[in-house]
Amino acid sequence: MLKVIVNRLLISIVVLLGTLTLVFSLLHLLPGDPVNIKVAGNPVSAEVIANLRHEFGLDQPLYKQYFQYIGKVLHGDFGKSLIDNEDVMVKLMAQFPATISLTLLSMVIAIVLGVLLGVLSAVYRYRSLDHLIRLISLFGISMPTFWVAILLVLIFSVHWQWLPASGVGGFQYVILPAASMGIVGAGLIARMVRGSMLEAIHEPFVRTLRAKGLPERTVIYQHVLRNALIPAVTMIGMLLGELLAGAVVIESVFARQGIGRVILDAIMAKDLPVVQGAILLTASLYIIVNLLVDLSYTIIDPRVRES
Amino acid sequence: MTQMESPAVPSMWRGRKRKTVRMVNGRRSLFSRLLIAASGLLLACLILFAIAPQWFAPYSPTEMNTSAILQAPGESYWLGTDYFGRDIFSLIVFGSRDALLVGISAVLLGGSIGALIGATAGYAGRMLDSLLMRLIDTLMTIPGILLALTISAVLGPSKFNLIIAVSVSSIPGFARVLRGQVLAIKSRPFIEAARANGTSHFSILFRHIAPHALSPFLIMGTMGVGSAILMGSGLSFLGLGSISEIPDWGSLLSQGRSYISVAWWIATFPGLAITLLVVSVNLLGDELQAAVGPRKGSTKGGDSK
Repeated sequence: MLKVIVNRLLISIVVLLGTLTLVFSLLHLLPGDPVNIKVAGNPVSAEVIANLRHEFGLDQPLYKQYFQYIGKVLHGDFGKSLIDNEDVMVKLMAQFPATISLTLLSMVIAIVLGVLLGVLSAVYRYRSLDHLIRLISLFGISMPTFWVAILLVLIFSVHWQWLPASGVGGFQYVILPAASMGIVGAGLIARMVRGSMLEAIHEPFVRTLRAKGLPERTVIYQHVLRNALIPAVTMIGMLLGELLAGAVVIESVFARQGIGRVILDAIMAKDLPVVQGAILLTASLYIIVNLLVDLSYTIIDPRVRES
Repeated sequence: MTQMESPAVPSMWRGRKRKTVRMVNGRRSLFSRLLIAASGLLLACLILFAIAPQWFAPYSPTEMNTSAILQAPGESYWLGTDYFGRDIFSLIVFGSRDALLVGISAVLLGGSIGALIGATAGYAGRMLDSLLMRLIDTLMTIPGILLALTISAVLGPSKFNLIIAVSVSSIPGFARVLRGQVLAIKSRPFIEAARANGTSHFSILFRHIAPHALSPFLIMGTMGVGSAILMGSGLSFLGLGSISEIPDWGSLLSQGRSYISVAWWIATFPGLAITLLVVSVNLLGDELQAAVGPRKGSTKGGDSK
């Protein structure tokens, strides 16, 4: 088991380095270098440009720039914004709580709703309720989140005026954005849970449990569900990535503050250090959560532990 | 787990056996047959719209009727008009071409590249496998839309760049599934036999393994078209789509957002169009999976542990 954990940790580090490299090369793939963006068409002397190039380390050979960049990032230094000269780390951290609360709430909605629908669907399989739930979850995964958001605003803000359509503030501001992401995620989870429950129902151990006379309720909720939820746990890691990315669109729809908003603004303004920092931040979150999910997998599932 | 304990549990198992047998025989319920028929019809309509929009759109998509701005859905304008007095239904009909084009070509491009990477990794094994899969893992850490967003921002807003952006973010999924498939097929005896016969690696991969990996590829491709359409419309919703006279569904929706309190139809119908298209495509994918695909667990082999 220790070997599995160490192995998994090493892979995460390699992947993180890979992401760093990808993010670094982004700088060199972009047409126009940061100096041009910084001076933004203002007439400046060659000396100023040379100074700026030096400041960004662009006069160094590529491999030196690469190692310097990695060194800086490992020290938590993501550079400064080209637009307002603010420290990227500070800028991102200021927006972090808003995005995390949005992501977590939508995750809770997605998991509770998704597992509930998935289990009901599997238990009542091939009957009307199952058909209905399958249709709902099919729509769930097929609707663009921004459209769900707009529909929710139409219903709850414009028509009934129950919840605010945009802005940041108390809890009521996060409900609609989280619901629009949660609904889509719930569709995904419901389909997944239904599938893995049906798969588990047909396994021989279930026949054995029934044969020994266990009540159907115990078979389903104690044994089948437990087995079916293991693949669903893996989904959580994937879902987090999806939701974090979804925040980019949703925060823009609801005019919320947050990492997504910062990313979008930075991408539009070609503010490279901010884009790099934000991508690195979400990527490392994704890597960490998936690492935790994989590790918890080895704890939950004895089959993984032993192999 | 307590919240799932409903009182209806014991009774609901009565019909179980009969229903299971019915599905095993391959007969489908009336409900799912109707659903499939409806989505097939819808898909056919949208493809016709995309081929010859001028035959179906009652108005020109660029025609601005200043005497009929922000008209509610009614007799002359079925789905209403926008701020410029353009007919929403005609705009949707004309926009179907872009939606299908982005969805299908992004999957063809990203899917082929991903499949090639995955198949190579699975077949070669060892170092190359680890190297390629770590590359894919890296690509996966950046959530799809974020990757696509960055790429299309780098390349600039255009239809072609949008396709590139969406296809790059669909590479990892294909690579993982195809790797798993190839790994499973590679160990079967007929591959060993082909090797013993002196067949080249290239020929084994493309003539012996590829046909067996085709159906998961097709299923994944169909599902991929759905998510590519969603991602593409998301990007153009954010203003990174094509810049042309005829807005695509995503940007139409985005324009409608500003008029949401006075004209709900502008944002609602393009979104409905996206949803219905993606629902139909996904349903087709589900059907394909049920018809030819292996069990759902086929992707499990793709996990690089």
